Amino acid sequence: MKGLLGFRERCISFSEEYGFILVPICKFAVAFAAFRMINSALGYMAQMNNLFLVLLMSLISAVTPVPVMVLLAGLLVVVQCYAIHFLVAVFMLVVFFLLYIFFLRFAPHTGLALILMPIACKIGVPSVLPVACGLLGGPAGVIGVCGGGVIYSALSVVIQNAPSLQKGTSSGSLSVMVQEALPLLTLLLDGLLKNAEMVLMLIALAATLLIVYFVRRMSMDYSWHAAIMGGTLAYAVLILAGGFFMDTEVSFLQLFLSAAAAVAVGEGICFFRFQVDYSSTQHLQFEDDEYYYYVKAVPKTEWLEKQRQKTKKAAQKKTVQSRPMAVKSPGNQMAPISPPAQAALETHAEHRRPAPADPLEMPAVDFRNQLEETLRNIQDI
Amino acid sequence: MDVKRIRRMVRVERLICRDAHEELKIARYYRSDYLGMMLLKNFFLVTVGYMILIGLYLAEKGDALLEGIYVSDLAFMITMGVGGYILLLLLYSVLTYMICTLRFAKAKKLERYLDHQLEILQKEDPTETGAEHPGRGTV
Repeated sequence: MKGLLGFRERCISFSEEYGFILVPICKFAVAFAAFRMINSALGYMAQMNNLFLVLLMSLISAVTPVPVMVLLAGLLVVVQCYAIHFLVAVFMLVVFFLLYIFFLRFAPHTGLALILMPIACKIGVPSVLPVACGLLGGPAGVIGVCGGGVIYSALSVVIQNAPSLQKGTSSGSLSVMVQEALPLLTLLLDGLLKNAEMVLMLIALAATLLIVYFVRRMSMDYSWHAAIMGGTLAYAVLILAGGFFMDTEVSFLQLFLSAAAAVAVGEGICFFRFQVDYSSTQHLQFEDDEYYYYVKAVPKTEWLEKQRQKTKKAAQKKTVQSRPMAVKSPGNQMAPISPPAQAALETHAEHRRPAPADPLEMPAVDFRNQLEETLRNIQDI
Repeated sequence: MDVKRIRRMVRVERLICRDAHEELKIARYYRSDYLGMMLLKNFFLVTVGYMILIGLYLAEKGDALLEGIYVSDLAFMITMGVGGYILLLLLYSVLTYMICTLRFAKAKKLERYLDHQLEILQKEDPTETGAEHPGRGTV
């Protein structure tokens, strides 16, 4: 366990020291994966499939805020859809616009979830993102996760119907265009709105994220682990139940792999983000002029380790100080000590030497004073 | 070098330049101005969005509607359309008002925290206490 904690500390200090280079690299990797996925799934416009162009867009995404990455991905999708049919591009633009007007403007920080959700759905692990967003974010993450799910469904509809959509031409008179547009729009809208699988997926994603969020915020022990397991189980149950009642196809292997990946990613996030020692929990009660406080203090593992090391060092210092000084003869040689005197010295030293500190023992820390100081600092703000 | 002072300065600078940039922009407004601006933006967006939704609905069901439509049905449909628009606008206006109120309160709280930190830094600044600096002369 100590080895794992040391590894964790090294990772955290490495990311803090080199964060200024790691963040752009991660953004570049995510953008590159998203743009390549869009090109491989759609790929109807050969000019946009150029690797150099994808690298350039990924580089721009790496050094600009996340909304720029979202904008570039949206533009790429629209341009690729334009190669199928003009109206398909208009349809995707309308979907993005409606998503922004009615949902995304209330959660502007969920752009990354919007990009990662279609990637997760494409890989076959859609439950990973609601678990991760529930652990790291808030309920507003539902908008980003479900928005990403809608975009993935819209792209799937376009890809499925692309051969029939490409048959129509976008040239000719206005009446011809309108006559062609209506069945096309009907096909796309029916594929999106009457898609029972999409509705089931959105319900499962939203429920998973909310369950994970509310359970991990509870004050019970091992709440984060319970949230991960509960959220993953809820996703699996909802997909299976929905598949049974809505008569949709459910792949058990994919569901199992998705759940396993969600648990693995969730436990990884928990390991780096929330490492506490529940066995050393303390319950405190105290009052001030305004409130009566009932506090549950759960120490963080790294803080506990530092306190234990401090206690060990303090104990070792006391041991060194309590050792009697050796008497030296004028010739810089140790004077021989008679056996009775030696025995007396050793007995005296044993009484003065404290017992070696048990490394597993909880160090004596005044939690109450620390908590009062923290509350005073918060009140000062 | 005062390590606490340096840490405070770094924290303040990080908040101003990076983490709280958006919140500080919001905090510069008066509350009524900010809410009014966001409600106006909401009005335009919901109107455009509703028109797009009506357009999509008519595109999908337009043929069936036009085949068996009467004047009274048309009046009913227009009433339903306008009623739906008003309901949607009300709903999103309430949502926008609540969310923007919370955002504004959070931005103001952050602004007060930054002002407090800057006050502490100003009090701790040795040049403000009138101390002499070599090479500068007496303040």
